[in-house]
Amino acid sequence: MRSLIILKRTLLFALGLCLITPVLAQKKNKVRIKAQFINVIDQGAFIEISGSSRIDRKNTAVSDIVFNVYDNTDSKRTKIGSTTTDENGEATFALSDFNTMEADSTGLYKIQVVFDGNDNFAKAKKNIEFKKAKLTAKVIQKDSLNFITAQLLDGLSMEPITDEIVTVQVQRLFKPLRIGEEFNATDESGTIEAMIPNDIPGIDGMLNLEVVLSDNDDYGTVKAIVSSPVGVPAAIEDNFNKRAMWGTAKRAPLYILIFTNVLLLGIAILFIYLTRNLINISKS
Amino acid sequence: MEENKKNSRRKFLDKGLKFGAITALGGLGLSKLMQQLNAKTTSSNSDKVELMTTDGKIIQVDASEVHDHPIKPADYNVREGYPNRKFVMVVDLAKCKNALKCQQACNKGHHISGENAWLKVYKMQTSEENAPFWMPTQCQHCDQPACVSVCPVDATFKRKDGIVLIDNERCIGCRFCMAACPYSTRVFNWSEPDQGEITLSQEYTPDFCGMPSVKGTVDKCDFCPHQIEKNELPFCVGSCPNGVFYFGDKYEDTVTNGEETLRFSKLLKDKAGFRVLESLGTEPSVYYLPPVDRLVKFEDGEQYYTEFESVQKPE
Amino acid sequence: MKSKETIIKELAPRKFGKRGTIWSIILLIFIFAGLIAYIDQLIKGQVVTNMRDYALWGVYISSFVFFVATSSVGSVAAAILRLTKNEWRTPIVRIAEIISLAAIIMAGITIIIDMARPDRLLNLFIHARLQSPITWDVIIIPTYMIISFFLLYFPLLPDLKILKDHYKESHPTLSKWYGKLSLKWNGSVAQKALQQKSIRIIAIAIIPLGIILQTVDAWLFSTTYRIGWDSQNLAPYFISGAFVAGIGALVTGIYVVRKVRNLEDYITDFHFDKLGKLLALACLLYLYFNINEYLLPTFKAKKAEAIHLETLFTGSYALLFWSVTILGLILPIILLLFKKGRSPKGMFYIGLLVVIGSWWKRYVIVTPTLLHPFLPIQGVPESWRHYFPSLHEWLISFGTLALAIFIIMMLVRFIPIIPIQRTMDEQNIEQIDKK
Repeated sequence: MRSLIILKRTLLFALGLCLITPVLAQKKNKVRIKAQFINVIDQGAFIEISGSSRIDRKNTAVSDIVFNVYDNTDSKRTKIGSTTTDENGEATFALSDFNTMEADSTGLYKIQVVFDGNDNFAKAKKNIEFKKAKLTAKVIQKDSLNFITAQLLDGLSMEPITDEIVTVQVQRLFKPLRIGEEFNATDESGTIEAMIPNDIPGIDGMLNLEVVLSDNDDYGTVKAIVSSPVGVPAAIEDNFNKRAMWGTAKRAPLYILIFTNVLLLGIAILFIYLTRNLINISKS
Repeated sequence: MEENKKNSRRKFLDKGLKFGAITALGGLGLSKLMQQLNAKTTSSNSDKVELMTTDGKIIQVDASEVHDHPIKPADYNVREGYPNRKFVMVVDLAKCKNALKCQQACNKGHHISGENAWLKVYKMQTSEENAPFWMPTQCQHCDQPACVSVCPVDATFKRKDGIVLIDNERCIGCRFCMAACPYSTRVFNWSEPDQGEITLSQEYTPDFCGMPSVKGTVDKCDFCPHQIEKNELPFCVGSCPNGVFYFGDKYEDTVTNGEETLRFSKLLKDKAGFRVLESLGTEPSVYYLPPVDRLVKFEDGEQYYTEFESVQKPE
Repeated sequence: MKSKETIIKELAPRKFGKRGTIWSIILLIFIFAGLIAYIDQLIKGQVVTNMRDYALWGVYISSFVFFVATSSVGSVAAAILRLTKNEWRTPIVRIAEIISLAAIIMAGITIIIDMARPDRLLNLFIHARLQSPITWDVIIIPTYMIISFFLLYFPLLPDLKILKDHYKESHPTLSKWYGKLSLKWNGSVAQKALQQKSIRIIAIAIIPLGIILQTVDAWLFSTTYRIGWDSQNLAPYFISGAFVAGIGALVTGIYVVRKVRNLEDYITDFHFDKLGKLLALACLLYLYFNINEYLLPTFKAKKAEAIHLETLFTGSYALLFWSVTILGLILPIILLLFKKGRSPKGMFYIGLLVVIGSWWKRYVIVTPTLLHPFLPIQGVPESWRHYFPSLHEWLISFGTLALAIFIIMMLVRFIPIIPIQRTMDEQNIEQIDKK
C-alpha cells in the first residue's frame, strides 16, 4: 500500500520533471556556420564567417551573433578573438597574426569557429583547415604587349602547385573584370601568364590587377594584387563645372545671366524713377 | 490520531504533487505560448534594434532593416557625388520576362508607399507589326536633364558622377520637372506618405530617396548611391533573377549584373545598344540592348503584368 | 454740356445698392468656400485634387494662364490705344486698369495655390535658378503687378483730389484718405508735367513687359518636350489669346458698370462699336494662330501629334475643343461683323462668351497633353488616365474667380470708374473748340 503510494508520487514527480525540463530547455534553432579562409598576399588573412539558419523552412541569415575564433592547430584550443555578424549574417575575422601563427608539421593550420548559443539559437561550431600558399604576381612586357604572370607555391615546401585554375582580373567597382583565358591553369612550375588588354581604362592609367586562387580545398582562397600603370588614362569629363541650362544656379549660361540682370536693372530704374516722381508730385 | 495526521499529510503531499504537476503542465503550456509569441515579435531572421529618430523618439526596428553607414570620401558632397565616376546602366531587353523582382526590390528598399513605382516594366510595342517586349524603365539620369533645367529652386540637380538627385527639403512642389521629363519617371507625394518609422531612423539625405518621402515633393529612382557606398549594386540590379540590369562606372568601362562583368563599350557595340528617345537630346545614362535572339518568350511575362498597379500594398 | 458738378456727381464712386450688396455677399461666400477648401488642401495635401502623376497640372494652372491672359487688358486699352492715339478710350481706361490689376494679383495667388509646398515660397528667391522659366515668371509677375499699379495710380491722382473736395462735407474721414492718397495734388503745371511724363513712360514700358509676361507664360509649356506644348507657335499664340481674353473681360465689365451706374452718356454705343471692332481684330488674329497651332500639324500627321489632335478633334476632348473654338471664337467673330453685334447688349453677351471660352480654352491647352506622354500610361490606377477637377478644385477655382471680381468691385467702390479729370478736360477742350 505504502509502496504504491510512493510509486504514484514518484511517477507524478517524474512526470512533472519530464514536463518541466523541456520547458526549461527550450527548442532552439540550429545555426549553420560557413567559414572560409582568405589570404590576400601582403595585405592580410581573414576568416569569412557566415551564419544561417533554417527558420520556417526558409534559409535566413543570422545577424548579431558572436563567433569566437580559436586556434586549434596544436590541439591546444587558444582563443584568438571574436567577431559579430552583421545584418546579412556575415562577419570577417582578421587573422592579424597569421604570419606568426604556427602550423603543424604538415603545414596545416586548424581554426575553430564557435558560436556559444543564445536564447534563440543552439550552440554550434565549425572547423576549418588550410595550408599557407605563396602567390607572387608581376607585370611584364613582351613584344610591346603587357602580361601578368603569377607563380603559386606551397608556403611550407615552396613546391609549385600545379594544375590549379586561377582567375586573373582587374579591380573595378562592385565586381572585378576578368582578363586572360577562361581557365588559367598553373603549369609544372606553378606559373600562369595572362595578357592584359591594352585598352582598359584606369584613373591616370593605373590598374589594380588581381590573381586569385578561389576556394581551394587545401589553401583556401589566395589573392595577389599588383598595381601597374598598364591601363589607358580614363577620360574623365568635367561637365559639372561648365555653364549649362541644367547647371546649378551659379552655373547658368552667361546670356541668361546677362539678359535677366539687365532686365531687372531696367525694371528697378523704372520703378525708382516712377516712385521718385510720385514723391516729387507730393512735394510740389 | 496518528493515522489522521498521516492521512492528512499524505493528502497534502498528494494534493501538492498533483498541484505541482498541474502547475508544471500549465507552466509548460504558458511558456510554449510565450515562446510562440516571442518568436513572432522577434521575427524569425533577426532581433529588434533600438534606434532614435531624428526628433528624439525611440523606436524598435527589425535589425535587418538597419544599414551600416560605411565610409565615404572625407570631402564627399552630396550635390557633387563620387569623384571620378560616371554611373551607367545597361538593360538587356532580350532577357527581361517581366518577373518584376526589380520593381519589388526597389519598392521595398525605398519604402515606396504611393501608387506609382519608380521603376516600371512597360509592355512596349512600337507599332502593330513590331514584336512586343518588356522594357524596365526608371530615371534615365540624363546628361542634359530637362527636369534639372526647369527646376526653379535647384531642388533637383545633376552631379559629377552623373546621378540626378532630388533634395526633398527644398522642393516646392511645382511639378515642373515632372512636366518636363519625357520618360514619365517622376512620381509625386500628393498626400502624407504612409511609410514605416524606419524612414525616420537616419538623417535625411538626397542620397537615399524615400527616406523619408516628403508630402508635396517629387521622388524618383536615385541610382542607389546608398548601395554604391557599400560597394553593393542598386536594388534592381541585384534582385533581377534573369541578369537583365548591368550597372557600373563608364570611366572604368565596366558594367556588371552581379554574375557577369563585362566591358561596357564592347557590350554596347556587340549588341547594338541604344537609348530611349535619343532624338530629344536628353543624353540618358541608361542604355538598352535590343530584344533580339530572345532567350525568353514575351508571353511568359503576361501573367505578371498588372496594368493598373505597380506598388504592391501589404495585405 | 454737362457742368463740372454734374460730371463729378455722376462719376464719383458710391455705396453699393441692393444689387451690389447681394453680389458682394455671394462673392464672399464663394471666396470663403474656396478658402476652406484650400485650407483642407494644405492639411491633407493635393491628394484632394484629382491631379495625379500624369495629369500633374490641372485647373489651377489653366486658371493661372487665364488670369495672366486677362491682365493684358491694361497694356491694350491704356497703352496701345494711347500710343495709337485712339482718344475715345478715355471712359474705358480706368476699368481696364482695374481689371488688369485684379487679374495679375489673382494670377500670383493662383500659382501659389498650385504649389504643393507654399511654406517653401522663399526658396524661389533664395535659391532661384535663372535658367528656369518659373523663375522668369517670378520676375515678371510682380513686375507687372507693380507697373499695373502705377498705370492705375498716376492718372488717378487728380481724381483723388476731386473726390477729396467732393466728400469734404459728407464723408470727412473718406475725404481725408482721398486727400492723403492724392499726394497733395493741386493741378499745378509742375505736377501735371511729372504726371504726364510718368504716364507716357509707363505706357511705353508696359508693352514690352506685357509681351514678356505672355511670352514667359507660354514658355512654361513650350520649354518642355510634350506634344501639344512643344510648339514654336506658342508664344504669339498666347499673346493673341491674351488680347482676346482681356478685351472680352473689358467689354463685359464696361457693360455692367455702365448699366449699374447709368453711365450711358459717357460710355456710348460708339465706344461699344469701337471695342467690338477691336475685339473682332483680336479674335481674327487669334484664329490665325489657332489655325497654325491645330490645323497645320495635320498636314504631316507626325504620329504623336496625330494622336494629340485626334483627342482634340474627335476624341475625349472633342466636345470641349469645338465648344471653345466655335462658341468662344468663331461665333463671336461672325457676330461682331454685324453692327447689331456691336451694340452694347450684344457686346455684353459676346464678351461673356469670349471670357468663358477663354477660361475653358486654357483647360484644353493644359490637360490633354499631359494625358498622352511619350511612354504609355501603365502601372497606375485606371482613374489616373483621366482628369476632371475635384470638388476642392472647383471650389478653389470659383473662389479665385470670385475674388477677382470682388477686387474689381472693391476698387470700383472707391475710385471713379471713369477718369473724372480727363473727362472734364476733354469736354472743356470741346467747349473751347466750339467757341
